[in-house]
Amino acid sequence: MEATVGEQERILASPWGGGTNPFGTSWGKFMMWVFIVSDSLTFAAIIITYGFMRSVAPEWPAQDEVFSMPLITFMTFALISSSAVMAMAVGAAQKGDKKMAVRFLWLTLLGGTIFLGSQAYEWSHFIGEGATLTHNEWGVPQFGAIFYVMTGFHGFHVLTGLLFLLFTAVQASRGKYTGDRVEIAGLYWHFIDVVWVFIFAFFYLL
Amino acid sequence: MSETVDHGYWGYIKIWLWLLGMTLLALGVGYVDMPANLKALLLVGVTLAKVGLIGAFFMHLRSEKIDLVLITFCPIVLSLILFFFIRGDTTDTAARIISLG
Repeated sequence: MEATVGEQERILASPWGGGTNPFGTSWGKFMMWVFIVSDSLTFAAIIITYGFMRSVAPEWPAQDEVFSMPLITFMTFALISSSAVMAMAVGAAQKGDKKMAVRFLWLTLLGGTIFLGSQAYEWSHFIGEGATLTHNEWGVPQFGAIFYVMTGFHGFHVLTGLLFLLFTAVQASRGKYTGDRVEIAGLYWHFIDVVWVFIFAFFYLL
Repeated sequence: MSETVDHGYWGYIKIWLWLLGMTLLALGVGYVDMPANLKALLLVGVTLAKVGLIGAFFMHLRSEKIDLVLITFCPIVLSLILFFFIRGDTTDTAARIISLG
């Protein structure tokens, strides 16, 4: 039995009827949130696995003897700063200030590049000390595996985030610019920052 | 007044300063000698506070509809459920992997 025109209008007007937007966002922004939620679970699995390994390991290497903590702190500073600048880029984009939005986007790219370069340096140092996925000189093989998987997966996200930001900045510079697109790129970049906050606290400090 | 302040960027700078302060606090907690459980609890607290600030102000969740905000809590709730459901089995498995070296 077909719905009457009045019934169709009533259904479309309801929050979940398809005629309105229940989340109050564009589809692109909402899809980015869905991606972030699903990707969070992947990172949660990695961090929880690390937690299980750590809790049953009879000993665990002292992080400040393995890593350069000033470098890790600097990396954290670079990523948090780039996240703040990204928020300003979104703010400028929402106000229609294209010039400032593009400037902030390039600054965000700079911060992310510094972070990734520092991570590459850290990896080269770790590899130089003979650490592999199955062996390292600190006596806990899982330490190297967890380090490579956790920071590698995060680093891959930073790299894709930089490409995403580069694309967004170039498009914005050419005038193909929408505030919504900058905000979507921003959500992804802040998510990368959030994941690093967890890694910094639980892998490097605990 | 500078262009930056005109655009309301000062709010983001304040959050950035808070985040830097909390990073230093976490660093301090990491270096101070204290029971491991207390250290973990403090680090979880500082980390969640930082994530809350980033989510609320940088990701603009404070101005989103509550439906969207609730969705972002799904990973935390699901992770906790999975963590406590598989804790016993996984701890045994992790212990075996560690013992294998």
